[in-house]
Formats: sequence, structure tokens, C-alpha cells
Amino acid sequence: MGGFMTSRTIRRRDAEYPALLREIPGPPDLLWLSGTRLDAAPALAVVGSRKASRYGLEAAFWLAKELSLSGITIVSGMAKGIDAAAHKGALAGGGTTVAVLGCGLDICYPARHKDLLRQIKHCGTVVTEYPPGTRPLPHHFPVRNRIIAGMSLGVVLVEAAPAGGAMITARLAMEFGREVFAVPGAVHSPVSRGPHMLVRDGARLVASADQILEDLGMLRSLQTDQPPPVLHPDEARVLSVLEAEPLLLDLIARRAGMPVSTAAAVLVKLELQSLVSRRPGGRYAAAVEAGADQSP
Amino acid sequence: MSPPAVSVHGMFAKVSSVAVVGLDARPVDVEIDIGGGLPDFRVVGLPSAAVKEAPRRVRAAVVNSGRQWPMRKVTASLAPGDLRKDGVLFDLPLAVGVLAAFGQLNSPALNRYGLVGELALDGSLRPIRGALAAALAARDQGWDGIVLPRQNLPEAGLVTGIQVIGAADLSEALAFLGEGRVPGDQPGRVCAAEMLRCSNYVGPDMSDVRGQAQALRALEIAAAGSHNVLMVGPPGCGKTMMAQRMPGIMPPLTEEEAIEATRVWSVAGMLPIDQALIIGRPFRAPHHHASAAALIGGGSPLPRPGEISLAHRGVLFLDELPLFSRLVLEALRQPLEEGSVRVVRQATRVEFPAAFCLVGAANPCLCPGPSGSAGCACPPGRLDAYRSRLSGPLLDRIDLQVEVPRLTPDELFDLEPAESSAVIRDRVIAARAFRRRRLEIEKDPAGVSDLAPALRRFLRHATSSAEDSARGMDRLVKVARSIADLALTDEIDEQHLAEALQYRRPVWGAL
Repeated sequence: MGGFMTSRTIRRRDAEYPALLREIPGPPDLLWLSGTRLDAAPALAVVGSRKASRYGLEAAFWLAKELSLSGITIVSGMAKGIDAAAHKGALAGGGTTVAVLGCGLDICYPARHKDLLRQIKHCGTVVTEYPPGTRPLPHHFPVRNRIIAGMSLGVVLVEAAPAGGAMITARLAMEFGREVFAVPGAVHSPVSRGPHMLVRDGARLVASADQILEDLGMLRSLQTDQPPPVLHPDEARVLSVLEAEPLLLDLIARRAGMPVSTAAAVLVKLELQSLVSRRPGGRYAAAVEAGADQSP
Repeated sequence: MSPPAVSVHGMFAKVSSVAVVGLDARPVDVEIDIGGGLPDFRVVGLPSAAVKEAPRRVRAAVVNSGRQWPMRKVTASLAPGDLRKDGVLFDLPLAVGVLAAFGQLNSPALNRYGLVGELALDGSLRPIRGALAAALAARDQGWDGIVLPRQNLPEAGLVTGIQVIGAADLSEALAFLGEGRVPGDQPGRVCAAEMLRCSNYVGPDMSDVRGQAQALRALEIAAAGSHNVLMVGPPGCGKTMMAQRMPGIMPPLTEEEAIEATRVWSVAGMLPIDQALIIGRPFRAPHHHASAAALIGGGSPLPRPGEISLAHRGVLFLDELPLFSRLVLEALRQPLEEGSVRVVRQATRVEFPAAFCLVGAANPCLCPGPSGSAGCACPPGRLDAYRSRLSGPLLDRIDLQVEVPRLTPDELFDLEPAESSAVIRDRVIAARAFRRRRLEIEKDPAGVSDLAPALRRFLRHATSSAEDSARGMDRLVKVARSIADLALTDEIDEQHLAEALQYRRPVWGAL
């Protein structure tokens, strides 16, 4: 794999070394990295079972995406199931994500996540304390979990069996004095037992990204930190002709008085800012006011 | 003409012909031996079934042309003997060879001309496939000329520098070879460039379309930058109509392109009799039940070009793209990448050109009737199966993907007709010219890595979703480059990239 060629190492004293990770007992001295620079953005771990339910996968994807949209870096272990869904959600939210491996950077484990690994390297960072060539041995994973918990402000547990590896990550987070969040599940499901057990032990039950941000005291700060978007005149013009009712590109272009090519490009930019939503049938509408559906 | 004295030894003659293999014609020596034994006529040299039948036609044609057939044992050998020979074009050289060996034709010119043609039982010559390739081969061999059926004269006449003789029947061919008598009223030759200039070919016009600005824009970008397009929309929204008008917004064929296309059509036997040259860009729309061989090329013993090669330099329209067999769709990947296709059959390996613009169309779902995506009642499982028939690797090669909406009556009333094909084509021609000039100075951007840092950041922000492969990203940059070419701009800017993204994202959710 090409990943090995672009890998680098950081030591504990380097500026890029995650500050939170320095605080735990026995932090790794040396980390192998591939991908973008580890930035200082607040990080949260989203972890869970490899044998997740459809519900769990969707919840992990959604939470990670929403958190990612708020500027949170999502840390996970790239395992099958919840971990992978969390990484994908973070990528879909356009944020960065960190995968902590239990093997060398040149090995893709599980092998089916080759594409995911490549995307994470492209848009995020892959981290491990094992040198290239190290095989994914079973005892690596509990050790690796301390890095996941260690570099995160908190751990969100989506689905896990009581004896699962994700439970170890949650317990380590508690030991390190980090927040532990548990996502509720169906009462009969075996993978709900882990999170439910944590709730009974005092973990925070969370059902949305905003609740997590609120508990971290970040909701207000993150939202006020964002400057109001500065719109290009073309963007403002297109936005002004849009309605709640979806419109054809032809009509948008004509009403905004610009060529179709310009309107098509402007719509993409507005969509990236979540100001426009693309509807089935090739039409566009003004996005529903952000947050309007979440207000009590 | 009296039969010559029969010598105890055999009589022998050799004439030249060609065998069409793929798009090329290779020289073949037709050797005739007349020897002692019971009357018989056999052809050796890996003849196909059609060639094995030639003796029957040839004997009848010779006799019905008023010539005498040798009541001896005639053996014809088509050399080289290890090259498979197919088709009916050996009839004429066989007949001429036998008559020459039998002493009924005394021609010093015999081995300076190539001979091809199918004989009817009455001695008249029928048109053959691949006449253009045959004439080109004759020129490459340094022969003085080629004698072929009269109806093939227009296309073979495109080849300059050699004599091309069209004969209506065996007698005319013999008269030319024996006495140098050129058959009457050989039409004057018109060169390809002249034909293209004088053609008043007009296809259906884009101004028949109402609305659909987004799809039309995608087709324009595709025409300018040679991209492939997928249109997704409910039945009856105009996908086929727009695809049929795609050739009309592409630049006219150059002389070279027209000859390339004509060669394919000639070998496929699809060239209209009265037409020498493919003048307009081809448009092929095979049905989704088409087999891989029909689409890609195939057949036995010698492969013939398939639909993708008939669409060479033109448009291949695949309506109901997801309904094509997976095998067929996967087989499209290599030609899409390379602009040509290699077909291998037994001992024969041929390469056909296949540089076409793929225009695909698909319904958003399986719902019957006009419901479209809004009121879709397809079971999710079936819908997933339907959509997943388009593999990622194939979709990756379709740079432009657009949703084609069904217009409401209000919208139809509200929207003007599209621009005419000529107006769009002029922009496409300008963009292509701009691109050619630009390529003299700089190379095309190979991908994301060639973008300015600010644009890379924009792209990263815009495409972090899981569906974007590395190849997809690089192709996105190529589309942006084509958009910049249409705008006659040297540098790609954010606007171009943003518009490219509009056509890049999968039109149906990929999760």
C-alpha cells in the first residue's frame, strides 16, 4: 500500500502530539501517522460493537456526521460495524476523522475497509503506535483503545456487548476523567446491554449531537464562533429567488438573471453551506432554517 | 476463344486479393492450379464456410458470363495458408485466376491489381464489406489499383494514389484486365474533404427541447471535453430526444475522423450503398437486450465491429442503462478508457476503434408510468438491486451525471425552447480550439494535485463524502477544465469546480 510511503512519526514532545493524550498514564512515546496533520480541534470518540444492528449503524453515522458538522473531530478504531459507520459519518459531515489502528500503517485491517482507509488518509489521519509491518494481534486492540479514549474529550458508546472492546474504551475514558456518553437502544437487543449498563452506572444518555455538545459546554461557543456566512453577490441573488417550493434550474437561472452554468455552480456552493437543498426531480429549494426543527 | 492445348503438366496462375481482418485488409495470393483428375474445384487455405461455397458461385458465374469452365481438377490456394479467410470477396479473384490458368485471359496487368468481389450466379458483381479497407491495403501494397464491384466504387474511391476500377460484372473486370478497357461511366472521384464541405447534413435540432437547461449544459460540456453523460429521469422526460440531438452539437467530422468511421461501417457492411462516406457523427442506440458480442464486436470466424465501434467518433446511446446485462456493462470499461476494443476469437485477435461519447439514460426507479421519483412505490430491496446494477467503476467513467426532471405543465408553458444546435456547436468548436491552443503551451491537469492550494481546499471541503474515489476526483478536475475551456479561460477557478461538482454527485443517494 502507498500509505507506508507517506507515513511519518511524531514523539511526545512534538507540537502535533495530541495534548489530551499526554495526560493519560502511560501514553505512547511514538506515534506513526498517515494522512493530514492532527489538528487541535476538539475530538470525540464514537465507538461500538462490530456486530451492530442497522439502527446502531445509522445512529453512529448520524451522530458522527452532526458532530463533524459542528467542527468536532471523530476518533474511532476502524473496526467493522459502529467504528466504520462513525468514520463514514464524519467524512460525510465534511470534518476530519482519526482512525487508531491496532496494527502497522501498511496493513489494512479489516481488509474490506481498504477504501475507507484510503479516504481517511485523504481527509483525516490514521494513527498507530505499532511500527509498519506489525500484524493486528488480538492483544493490540485493548492497548490501542487507551489511545482512542486518551485523545478524546469523551467517548460516545453506540452499541456494545457488556464484554466488548468498546466497553474497555468507555471504562478507560472514565479512568482518564473524560465524559462517557451512551446511546440508548432496543431493550431486547444484546448490543444494547453495554450502553444501558453504562447509563445505570451514571453515564450520560444522549440522543442527539446537540445534547453531547451541550454536555461538553460547547454548544454555545461553537455556534457563536461561526461568523455569519459572507455571501457572494451571485449567491445572494440565487438565494433571493429561491422559495420553499422546489424550482427548476432553468427558472432559477432566468429569475436570477444569470447563465445556467453560473447558477449551477452557485447552487453547489450554497448547498455546501446548507442554504439550499437539492430535491428529487432535479429541483432546488431554500433549505429549512437550520435548527428550526430542533427548537423546543 | 479456343481452349488452349492441355499440357501434361498442370496449368498455373496467381492473382492478388485481400482478406479483411478486423478493420485491416491483408494481402492474399490466390493461386490456381489446374491439374489432371476428375472435374473438381476446391479451395484450401483456412477458408470459412462462405469461402468454401465460392466454387459453386464462381463456376456458375464463369459459365453464365459466356466463358468455358475447365473440366479438370482445379485447386485454389489462398496464401498465407495460416490466415483465416472469411467472406465472399474471393469470388472475383478465384474466377479470374481460373480463367488465367486455363489460358482464357492473357493479362500482363494481372498481378499489378488487387481483385475483390462477390459473384452472383449470372456473373454480375455484388458489393462487399470492407471495400475501403481493401483499397487502402492495395495502396499500401504498391499495386497499381484495385478492381471491385461497381457499388463499392464510391467508398473505395476515397483512396487516392491508385486506380480504383468498379466493374458491374465479371465480363467488365475481364475486359479491363485483359484489354485495359475501363468500364463505362466511372464516376469522377470526390475527395473526403470535399464531400464533408459540400454535405448539407442536418440532424434533429436541439431547439426542439423545452427547458432541461441542466441536462443540455451537461451535454454541451460533454461535447466540448469528450466526456460521458448519464441522464436520470422518469420516462418521457426527454432523455432520448436530447441524446439523439447530441451528435448535432459536436463539431463536424474531420476528414480523418470521417474516414475512420467509414472504415468501420464498411467492414460491418452497414454503409448505405449510395453513400461513400459517413458524413454526420454516428448515433447508435442498441437495445438493452443486446449481447456483449453485438455491442463490443465479435462473431466467428472473424470478428466484426460491434455497436461501440459503429459509434466511433459519434454517440453511443444506451437507454435503460441499468437493464443492460452486467457482463455488457463491465465490457464497456476498457473501451471507455482506451478508445478502442480488442476482440479475441480463437486464433484471431483484432482491434476496433471505439472512441465514442457514451450517453446513458436511466429511470430513477422501476415504477411503471410517469410517477417518477416523487411518488415512487418501489420496494427498497428491488430499488437497491436496480441501482446497484451500475457498478462503481463504470459510474466512475461517466463524468457528468444529471437528473432530468419531468416538467409540470406550468413549467412547460413557462420555459422557452433551447438554443439551436448550431449555436451550441459553435461554442463547442470554440472550446475545442481554445483547448488545442492551450495544450501547445501547457499540459492538461492530471488531477487534484495540479490544482492551486485554495482550490484543493475547496474541493476537500466539498467532497469528503464516502462516494468519491481518487479516480472520481481526478475526473472532476477534468470536467472543471472542460468548463473552463468553454469559458475560454486559462485557469480553473472555484466557479468551474463548483459547476463540475453539480454534475459529479450521484444523482441517486448512494448510501
